[in-house]
Amino acid sequence: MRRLPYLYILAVFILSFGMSFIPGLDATRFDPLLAGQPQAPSLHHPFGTDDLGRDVLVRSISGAKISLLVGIVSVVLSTVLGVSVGLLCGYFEGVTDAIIMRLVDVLMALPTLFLILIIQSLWKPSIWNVVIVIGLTSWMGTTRLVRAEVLSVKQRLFIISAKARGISTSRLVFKHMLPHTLSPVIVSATLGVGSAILTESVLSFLGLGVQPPYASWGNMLERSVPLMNEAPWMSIVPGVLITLTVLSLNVLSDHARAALNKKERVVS
Amino acid sequence: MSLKVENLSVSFSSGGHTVTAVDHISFEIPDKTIVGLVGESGSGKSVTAMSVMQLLPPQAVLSGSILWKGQNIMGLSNTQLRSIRGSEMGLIFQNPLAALNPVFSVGNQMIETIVLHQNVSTARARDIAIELLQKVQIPDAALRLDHYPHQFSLGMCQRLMIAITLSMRPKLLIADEPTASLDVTVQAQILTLLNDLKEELDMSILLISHDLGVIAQNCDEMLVMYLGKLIEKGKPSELFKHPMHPYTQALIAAIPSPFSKRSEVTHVLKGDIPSPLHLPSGCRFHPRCPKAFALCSEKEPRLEPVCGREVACFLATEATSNSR
Amino acid sequence: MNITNGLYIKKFLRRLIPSLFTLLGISLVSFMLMHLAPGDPASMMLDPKLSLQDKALLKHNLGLDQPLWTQYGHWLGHVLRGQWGYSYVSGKPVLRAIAERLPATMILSVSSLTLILMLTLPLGLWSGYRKDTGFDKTVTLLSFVGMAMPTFWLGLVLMLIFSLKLDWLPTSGFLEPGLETSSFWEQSVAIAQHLILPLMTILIGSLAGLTRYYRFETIGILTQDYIQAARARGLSETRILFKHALKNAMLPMVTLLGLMLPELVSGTFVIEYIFSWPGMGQLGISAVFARDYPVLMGMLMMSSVLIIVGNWLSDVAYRWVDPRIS
Repeated sequence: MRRLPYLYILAVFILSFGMSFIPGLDATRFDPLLAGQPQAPSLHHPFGTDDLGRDVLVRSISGAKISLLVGIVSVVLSTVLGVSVGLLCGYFEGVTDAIIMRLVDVLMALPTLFLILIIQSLWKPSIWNVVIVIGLTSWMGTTRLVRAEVLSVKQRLFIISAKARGISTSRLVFKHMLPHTLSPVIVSATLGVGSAILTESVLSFLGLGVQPPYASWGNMLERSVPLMNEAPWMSIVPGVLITLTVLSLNVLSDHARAALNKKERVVS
Repeated sequence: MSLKVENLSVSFSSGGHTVTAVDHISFEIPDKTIVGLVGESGSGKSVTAMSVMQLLPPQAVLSGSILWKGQNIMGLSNTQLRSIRGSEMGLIFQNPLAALNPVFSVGNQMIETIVLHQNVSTARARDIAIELLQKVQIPDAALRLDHYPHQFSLGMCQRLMIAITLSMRPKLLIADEPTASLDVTVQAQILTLLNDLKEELDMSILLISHDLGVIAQNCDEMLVMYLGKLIEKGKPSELFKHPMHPYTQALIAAIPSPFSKRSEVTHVLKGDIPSPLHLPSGCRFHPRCPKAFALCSEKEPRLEPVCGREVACFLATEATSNSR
Repeated sequence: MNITNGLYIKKFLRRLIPSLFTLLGISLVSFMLMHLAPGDPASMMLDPKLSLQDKALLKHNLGLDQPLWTQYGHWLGHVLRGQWGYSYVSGKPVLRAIAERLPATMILSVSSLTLILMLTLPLGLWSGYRKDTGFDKTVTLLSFVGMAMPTFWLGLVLMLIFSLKLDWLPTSGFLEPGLETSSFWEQSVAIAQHLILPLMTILIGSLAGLTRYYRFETIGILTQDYIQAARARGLSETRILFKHALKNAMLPMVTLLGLMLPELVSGTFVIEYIFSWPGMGQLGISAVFARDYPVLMGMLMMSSVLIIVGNWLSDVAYRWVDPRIS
């Protein structure tokens, strides 16, 4: 039971990224004979087809790649940004810190999703825009976390002793402080991937995310709305996939937190 | 005989390891006496106290029996225990500040307890609470009742704990290191207070401490614990004059005295108290014992009566059997 | 008396001034974001057949041909005088357009917030108290699943089941046309029926976080000495859990609520949109599609004020519930 989420994530990864190597599986290919009338799940199309006659299973796997890509890349972006700004603020304190933290306050007082919607509607929606927008609007939490951690680590004895030994600033930051801040960052990044996947799905659902003909779980949902009653599989498949993926990622994050807590207790 | 503990063992299992914190100990607390329980930290003193109150976490495994007025309270349900906790046995803690709920006023917590145990109205309970605070010498009692625990000093908090416990009029007070976190002058005040109240209310006290001085001055009987085992018990006056177990001897020798020079301190114990995960074979004290011999690592000595007390050491039992 | 009043005013100002700067920052960031974007509302909202000349005229009328800083200065100056401009779409003054949407949003958010608070506390306390039992595991699993579901999809599924398949509840909207003149009671019942689905959707998504949090807190609190001390005094388990543990677990809740507000606000936006709930969220999303700058600015500022005030209130509440902070 405990390994299930890991297996699931692994399976999604292998399937979605491996699909490119299997010829004949094209998410955009549609069956003109079936267009106009979505087909219920059958042996030939296990998850049914959509209203353009495209196979829902193939599209789901292809959508997985996009959703995971958006989730991971945007979190990498926000984590790199968040960690560097946090280290900067925590290390230098003073005026720089004050100004940046005010900016963080400003950004955190905005309803993020609404902001993302506005930006996406103004700029041309594309996969990369989605990634950048999510990345740029979700780094503040990490910054606060890292900054607080750096400030507390600075107080601790071993940093003072490292300074006393005349170690350079950059070495101090990267060798001594960064590792200390990593564990909470890893936990929040894992959670971040899940929430980025959710954000992407909302954006695509509103037509502001990944654009057709590319498949993403979000735009598959968008397409399914008018057909909810007649072709529920078009909605249930991507919905369940998103839920399972985010669920697994959150469970991983929970495990990571528990493991790191245990480790810290042993060390201290 | 109010409390009788027989063959009490407590073990905790976590992650595949089983740690025995208390190993087959037996003792009694007669009416109106103060029994002291001494030992280093990790010796199982607090676990003993908590098992008497039946307040150990659910993963603790207990065996043996704890008789309170002849009734075995081991394995009673929470509801049944509630009629014993507080009204029969009271408990005060090492850190009095942590033992008071930080988000309720002191009065709130006292009145709640008084209403529960004395079945009086809230207004009456408030009067009783004020009287109790005066009894434990807290100035401005009526005013202080509405203060929160963090507004009191540690010594005051311990007085508050004592006052709350006394409001239930227990027959046995278990005091787990009641003075360990306090300044020396405050320590003396608290101990005097406990002694006075014991006389006034006819209670017994189980006084747990790592401080031999505290035990010597206050107790009628003392128990020495090492790694979950009772190793010596008897009257403090005798134990202090002639400690028989080498561990007791070491404990007494380690009491700093203003008149002894540092060089005169002969019995400094070697090493640390071993991990309860890897208990030594035979006598648990032998790796640190200055007088250990071959038998000590092979066989575990039992607590046996020697000259009006009980000792678990081959040296002591042998010496007496030779002289006989 | 005067001294304490003075103190309060000083404290108030110390909070107010940074908040004002935050709001100024928000307005600047949002204004720039919107106006730096390619394309402009004039070309969006109007007939594509409009001549270049007319377009330029319109842009001039809307002030869109001036440099950004001037535009921002204009906007700020007007806002400070209470003029938030007019909606490009409906022509209504922005504040009125928003105010019209306020009651529906208040109904939805207040009822969901109340229910979240009322449900999560006992759930979290009990699963913390009964750690690792069937109850705890069920609650944990359900909260994880609730957290992982895309809310809009959950809303659609609920709509599919309860309105389309079972026909128990209305699919969307607020009040059926024709009921505007009926009695208050009839209106309330109709609104309540429409409220159930959006409310359920919000609840399922948001119960998880706080419940998990309370569970975690409770587990920690139950190991504290004061809980053991309360047991040693013979207090009942119910009293220990629902008095002594509860108040301690509740302390950080107020802070947490403050932190949850932004997410709750955005979350409600999408829900309102799906269920055609005529609140601020629906207005906001349609303004997004129409590039209705004045309305968008108004909405952003309003929600930010709401979030800042919420944080502020939660700080005050924290001081009030925690006796250790004076």
